[in-house]
Amino acid sequence: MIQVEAARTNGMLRLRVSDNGVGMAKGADGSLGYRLVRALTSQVGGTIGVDSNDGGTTVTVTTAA
Amino acid sequence: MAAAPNNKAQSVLERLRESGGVFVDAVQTTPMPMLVTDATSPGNPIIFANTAFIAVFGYAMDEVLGKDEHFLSTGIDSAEIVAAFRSALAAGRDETLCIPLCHRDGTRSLTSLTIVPLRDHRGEIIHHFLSFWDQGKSAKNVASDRALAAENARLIKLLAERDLQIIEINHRMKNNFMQATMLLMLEEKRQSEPALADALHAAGERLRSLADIHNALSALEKGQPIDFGSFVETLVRPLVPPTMPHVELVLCPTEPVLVGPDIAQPLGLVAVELVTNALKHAFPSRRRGGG
Repeated sequence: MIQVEAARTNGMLRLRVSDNGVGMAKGADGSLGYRLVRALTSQVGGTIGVDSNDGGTTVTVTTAA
Repeated sequence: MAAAPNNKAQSVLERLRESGGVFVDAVQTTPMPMLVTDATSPGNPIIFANTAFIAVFGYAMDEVLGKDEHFLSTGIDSAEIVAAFRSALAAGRDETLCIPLCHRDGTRSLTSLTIVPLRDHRGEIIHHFLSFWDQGKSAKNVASDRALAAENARLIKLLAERDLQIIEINHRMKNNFMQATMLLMLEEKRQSEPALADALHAAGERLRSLADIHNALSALEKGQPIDFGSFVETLVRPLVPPTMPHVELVLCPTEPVLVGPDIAQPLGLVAVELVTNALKHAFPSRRRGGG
């Protein structure tokens, strides 16, 4: 399952994509996809949180908007 | 009754309205009474009347739409006035007439009427803009008022032309995105090197997402916010291939989250990347293609 959530709390926009898969492989955060995500997030002045273990991965992008 | 919306010009006006360009705002907010006709339909029926027209002439919207422009001279009209209308319309250039017109309450006023044609990209007249200006109310500076009225009508036409051009450019950009995506897909099919084919596939998918984002955002008025949740849904929903029915995509229903296009664009792409990554790597045992 992949869950996508968009919400606004306390003036912050939160985009969260989580899955219940196998977790991120070592070095996956160096992939083109993640480099793009980091570049786009910093473009809007946002921050990224990644939580990954063998029960799945959750990436949360937060920005003021 | 309104004219049947079954023709080309109607759809042009609809597109202008949907595009939310400045033209529609300009026509609505100008203090000058204005009508828009559909020049591609028989009888050149009126398809739009602005707020000022309704206020000044007193007709209800229903009484105006679908009529031909001569209806304002009913009761006073002579063959002469109708002929003046017709020749002004037929001239295909900006024309100003001065004729007595009927208000809803039966009063008549000597009105200066500027007729401005709007042409499509092939040069055919698709609309006439009719701007009215009551001469009786400003007898002092007739000449300069008339010039102002004509200039106002001309500016509104320029806005309409500009809006049409923006619609056209957006349409072309959409086609360009599609063609570029197609090129990458063709390249991908030619590749025997799997790593290269994968890279081309990923690039094609990213371009497709950019095209989707462009389409969704170009339909918005300038700076108008968009509901981020449903925007993201339209972007990520098509990413799940039919070969992965076991991957369920859940979009959390929340309150609408309105964001501007400047935020929606990059964060839309972020959502696409994150969902793509999850699809690609999170469920390896049932990977696309069976591994």
